[in-house]
Amino acid sequence: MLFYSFFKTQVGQQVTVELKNDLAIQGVLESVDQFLNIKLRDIHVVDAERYPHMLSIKNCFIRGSVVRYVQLLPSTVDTALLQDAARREAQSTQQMSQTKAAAVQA
Amino acid sequence: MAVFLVSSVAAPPDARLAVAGTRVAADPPSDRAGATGTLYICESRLLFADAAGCGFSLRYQSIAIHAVSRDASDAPHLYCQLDCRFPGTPASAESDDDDEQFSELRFYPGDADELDAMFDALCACAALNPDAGDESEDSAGGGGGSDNAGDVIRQIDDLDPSALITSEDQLDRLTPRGRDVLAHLESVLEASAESGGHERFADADEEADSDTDGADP
Repeated sequence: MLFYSFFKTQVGQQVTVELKNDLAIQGVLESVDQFLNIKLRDIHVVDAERYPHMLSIKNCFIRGSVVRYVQLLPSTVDTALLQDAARREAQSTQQMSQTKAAAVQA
Repeated sequence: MAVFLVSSVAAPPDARLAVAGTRVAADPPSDRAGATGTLYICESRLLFADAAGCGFSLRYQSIAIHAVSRDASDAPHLYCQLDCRFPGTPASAESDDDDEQFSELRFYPGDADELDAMFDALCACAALNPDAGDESEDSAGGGGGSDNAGDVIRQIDDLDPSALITSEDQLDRLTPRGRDVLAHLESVLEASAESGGHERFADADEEADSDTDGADP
């Protein structure tokens, strides 16, 4: 849930989404959901020569599971805050799964 | 394979949107596409069927990107990029495409005004069909080393809920030794219950008054 919340703060920012098939799409983040499915508007394909068939597309919906990276503008991200939040989330998730593991093995 | 070829199709009950008069084209070209028929955007899958009922069914998990394309160079259409190879396509000469295993579908509706509705319906249905793998990653917190946690959590889902409620012993998960111990304890409890009868647990007043064993006052 952490990155869902984080990406919601990025709505309206310029991002570049790199897919697992190497396609990279730059655009404005319009929306994101809990599965990190991404909607971009005003897109343009980064390596347009390789992917000419997407020239006429302005908005797109990208399935979260095909995303490899989301590139962000450093000025829009407080990395220290994000690191801290990620650490806390990892700890709480670990604690939760340890509790559940103990319940099963008892 | 997430694309299924169908040869007889009835209108599906969970269709969010049905767009008749839609032409479909595939890239790399396929002998299964190129027909005109009805596109059904269903909650469980994307279905295309021509007048004869032939067509294909597609799972949302294979649709990497979908978008509306409006351009002078081509008729307005709904573009879908798949992360699998569309069946019926000849083996591509380009090794790049073979390695990446991705193909494209374009749906040209009879009425271009339908495009926005088609796009929105696809967004909604794609959100209804997350990858199974994604869900377990979320609940386990993702990242390396979380596989065990994911397995544990799945086991929890499989467990009979009553096993988790109060018993520390997880009765239906007892080892044979555990079952022996439980049987022994139960027999001890039964024995003590028999020897005492109800009197042991009777209220103090009743005990003081009663002269007989276990009789009602």
